[in-house]
Amino acid sequence: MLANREWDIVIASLSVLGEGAMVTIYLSVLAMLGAVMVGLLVALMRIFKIRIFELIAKVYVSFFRGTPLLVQLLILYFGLTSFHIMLEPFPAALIGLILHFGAYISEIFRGALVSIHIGQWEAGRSLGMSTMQVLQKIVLPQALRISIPSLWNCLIDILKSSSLASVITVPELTRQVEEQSSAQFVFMPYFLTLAVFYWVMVIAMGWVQEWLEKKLMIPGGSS
Amino acid sequence: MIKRNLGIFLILLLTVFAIGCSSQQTTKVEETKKQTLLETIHHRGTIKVGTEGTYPPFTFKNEKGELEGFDVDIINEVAKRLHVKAEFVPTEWKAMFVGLDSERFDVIANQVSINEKRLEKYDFSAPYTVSGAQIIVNKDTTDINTVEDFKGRKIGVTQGSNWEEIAKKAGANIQHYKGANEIFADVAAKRIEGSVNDRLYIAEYLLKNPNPNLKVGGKTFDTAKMGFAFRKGSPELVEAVDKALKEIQADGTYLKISQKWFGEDVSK
Repeated sequence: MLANREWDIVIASLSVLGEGAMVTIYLSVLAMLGAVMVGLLVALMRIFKIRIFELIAKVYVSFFRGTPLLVQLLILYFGLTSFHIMLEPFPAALIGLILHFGAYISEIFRGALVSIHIGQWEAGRSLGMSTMQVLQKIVLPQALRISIPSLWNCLIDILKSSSLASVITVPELTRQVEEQSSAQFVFMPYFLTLAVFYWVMVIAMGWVQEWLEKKLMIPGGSS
Repeated sequence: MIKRNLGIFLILLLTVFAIGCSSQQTTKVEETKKQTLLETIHHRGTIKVGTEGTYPPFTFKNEKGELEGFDVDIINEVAKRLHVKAEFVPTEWKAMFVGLDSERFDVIANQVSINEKRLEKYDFSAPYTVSGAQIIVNKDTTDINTVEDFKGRKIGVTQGSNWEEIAKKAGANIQHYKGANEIFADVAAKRIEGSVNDRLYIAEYLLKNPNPNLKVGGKTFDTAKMGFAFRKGSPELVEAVDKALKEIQADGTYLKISQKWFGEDVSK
């Protein structure tokens, strides 16, 4: 079906694809860390009903969840130059991914936080703990545990969506494959290889999730 | 509640307003920089070049990931004669002109055909390639031999390309693609009936990728002249590039590069 000659070409360029994969991993991991931090901050802004913070958080989530990532990246990279803000490709992609997925993750955390029974807060307070202490020691550990499966969905999405950074010239995996395949006029083998690269990375992320869920399991508990 | 909604509405309105203003600001920026782009380039020591890197044999990455091609060689020689280095910014075609507009780079070196519509908004160097349009069809298609035959047929083109204009004018039923590779794959698969592209590119494609489902249709038509594209307002840069082009024509460098990639002189 697919000529051996074509696979030889793919194999010859594997090191270039490897470089692209490193950029993808680097970009995605930084974006995941940033998006989790932004998500947590925004979720807390909405939980503690302080009017102005709540409003800012709501507008933020509404915009970044309400517009396509591709559009956000184009605005960050090409649009902001009219305001003399000249972001390099990599930072522009990183900021775009963090802001976009931070909005989704904030909703995941918010859902998890409100699912913790109000009695837990009251019990903590009645033991003389401050609000921050209750949050830190009682509510957050439970909420984070609950949020892991949906959080991981989102983190996997970050890894795959980082391929959009190719549009703003970041030399990540997808861009490298596009360059190689169009130069060699070889397509299907490259696209299959590209899919396998992403799949393997996501499988590795799945292992981390399993490990984390096991580690955070309540001893003797069911989840 | 009403107050809050009003607040959100106001912020959105401001955002839209700010984005609306941005286009006006661009022109202001260019006006202040008008006299200095060539100087900026000299000062920087590099000329920033927008190029696809996915359009062989003009601009593409080799298996080591290095940028190569006819356009790359030519602009490198031009840069040498401006006493600067060419710094390449690999950019998808659909983002090419917006990249030039937003000053991501100073010039496009990507076989940009010079046409009236583009001349309204951009400046061009003297042509450095003269080529022609060539129709490509599926092997089973026998009734598309001239561009007039495009009328009402399903024709694939790259968005914003010169070929799109040609097919549009002929009254084709147009389908847009990201790049020529995707188009040819769909011609071979019969999802579309044909396409039109640069004869040099089609020759390279069929040479490197002999596809039994593809064939050229009819003869080459329409001479196309390709030049380097610039933002308007830096005539001194265009002039310097034109001068460099003349020099490499005169000393034989151009012919050597042309022979290397095409085995012929593509300046005529």
